[in-house]
Amino acid sequence: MTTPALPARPTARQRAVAERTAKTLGRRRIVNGTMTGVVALAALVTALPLLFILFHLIKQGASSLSLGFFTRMPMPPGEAGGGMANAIVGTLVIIAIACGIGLPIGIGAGLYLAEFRANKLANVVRFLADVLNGLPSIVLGIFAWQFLVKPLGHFSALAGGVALAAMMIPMITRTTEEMVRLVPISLREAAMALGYSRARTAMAVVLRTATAGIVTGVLVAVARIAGETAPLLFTAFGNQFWSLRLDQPIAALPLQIFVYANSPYDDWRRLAWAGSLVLIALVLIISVIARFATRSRTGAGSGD
Amino acid sequence: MAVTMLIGNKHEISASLFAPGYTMASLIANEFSEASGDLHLAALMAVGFVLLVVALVVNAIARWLVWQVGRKAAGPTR
Repeated sequence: MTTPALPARPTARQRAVAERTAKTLGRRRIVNGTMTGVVALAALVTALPLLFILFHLIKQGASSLSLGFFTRMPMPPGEAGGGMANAIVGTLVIIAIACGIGLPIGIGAGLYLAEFRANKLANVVRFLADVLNGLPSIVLGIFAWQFLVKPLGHFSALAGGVALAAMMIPMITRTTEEMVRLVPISLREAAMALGYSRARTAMAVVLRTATAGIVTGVLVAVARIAGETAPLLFTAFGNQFWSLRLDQPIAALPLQIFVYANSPYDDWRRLAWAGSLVLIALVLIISVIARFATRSRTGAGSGD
Repeated sequence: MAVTMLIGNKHEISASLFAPGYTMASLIANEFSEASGDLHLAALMAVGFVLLVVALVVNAIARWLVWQVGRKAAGPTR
């Protein structure tokens, strides 16, 4: 502060400020410490439920988990040794249908929103995607029921997939948009300067650069729809038997867990615990696999 | 669905937070697959519509809030 050119005396105003600051220093230190503690506590509480759930699931479900759980079909109550093979496969089938419909539409829409951001259509779509995102999932079940179940006259795996795709699309749209926006404009300019058309720039340069982020967004979406029960209640409906047909009702893990957990039979409820554990593990495995897949593909090219 | 399993599903409005209640989403979940007749179905569809309107209004308010804050933040610099 004391440079030779400037007189060291502070002005009256500076002195007043300094005095006030010194007076409130103790109080501000206390407030600072308290608030840091409160925020740290909030962070801890955020992580607690997951730990509790995992701990409880492993405690209750691991004992009912066996090889038969993955290979056997459901049994009537009272008969030991039932499994959920059809539900596990059914969940995978429904997720595949949802991805087949949801990925192209969601990523395409996200790309459009990012490339034409101030467009009137883009604004409307963005708003509607947010609304769809906040919609209770059961309403999407009604939608699929109205358009696929009622006209066809029966529940089907396809209807379940469509309901979940409708849930997935807004999530993927919004994350894709955010990720594409992060791609530096200079990359686009470079591609254009080389004579790429706008469409080819978007597909070959922008989307490719944003791949890692988009895949993460897709994983979050898949993880969320994998555990959804509500939209499947009256679309996929559940099935006690083995079925891979897309036009017939199909079993799904969340549905089976819902039915078993609400049942009065002890062995069914044990299976529900085991099913929940498998569902969580399934989500975990999907994300780990895809995380590795993207790392090996984009790792080499993403350095800038 | 998590709520459906816990809330008690009782067709009653209670002043107590500890008494069983019902939510719109669980109402649809419980009754839709067993709905008898078009009137029952239409009523459940209406519940779904109300949920849609709620989501729409909440999102509109959120948009408006963001727009307001953005305008205020941009104001002094101009």
